[in-house]
Amino acid sequence: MMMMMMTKIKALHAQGASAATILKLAHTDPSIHAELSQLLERNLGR
Amino acid sequence: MNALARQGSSVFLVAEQLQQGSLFGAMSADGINYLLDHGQIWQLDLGDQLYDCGDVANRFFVVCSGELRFIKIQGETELHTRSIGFGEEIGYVAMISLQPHGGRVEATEPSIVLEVSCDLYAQLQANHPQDFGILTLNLARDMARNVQRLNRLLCENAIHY
Repeated sequence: MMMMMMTKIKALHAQGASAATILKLAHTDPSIHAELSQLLERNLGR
Repeated sequence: MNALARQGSSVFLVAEQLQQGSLFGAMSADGINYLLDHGQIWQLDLGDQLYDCGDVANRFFVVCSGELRFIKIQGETELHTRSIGFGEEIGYVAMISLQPHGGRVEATEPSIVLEVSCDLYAQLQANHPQDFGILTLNLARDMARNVQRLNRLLCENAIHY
């Protein structure tokens, strides 16, 4: 389930997008914002 | 709060001087100039507000001169928890964690600040990758210092988990 939800960030990463670029896109695209927020929270163990 | 153009204003920001600050230490003059040329520079008078609690955090700010204070707002409580001086930043934690600002920032004296948007942050990585790495290490080190400071305060006030 989690793997299915990370498609946009995975796709960006596969295209060579840098972490800073993904961060920038997260601040403009709500769906990427949601995915990245979920990743951050998962990494914090919440 | 007034927006300034780097060229043509009476404010002169010199990369070599900013290298003396915490955040730009070890960055090249070229990298700092890239940020100065592409970032937004703001001039604040005493009491001017840089941002408010709840504002979208898609940028951070570096103090080039003067001093700011951060006022943490939690419910009805407002507390001055941090002062931000020359070469220090404010706003990066909220930007990197995708959270809105948790307090407001205002100038405690006439100040000049450089705004670095997350777009400019990404441009720096693309155009000056080595300086991006140094800047990010500096940001991490300053955050680490704040964590250490907070840990000391927790101990001094006997606040446990």
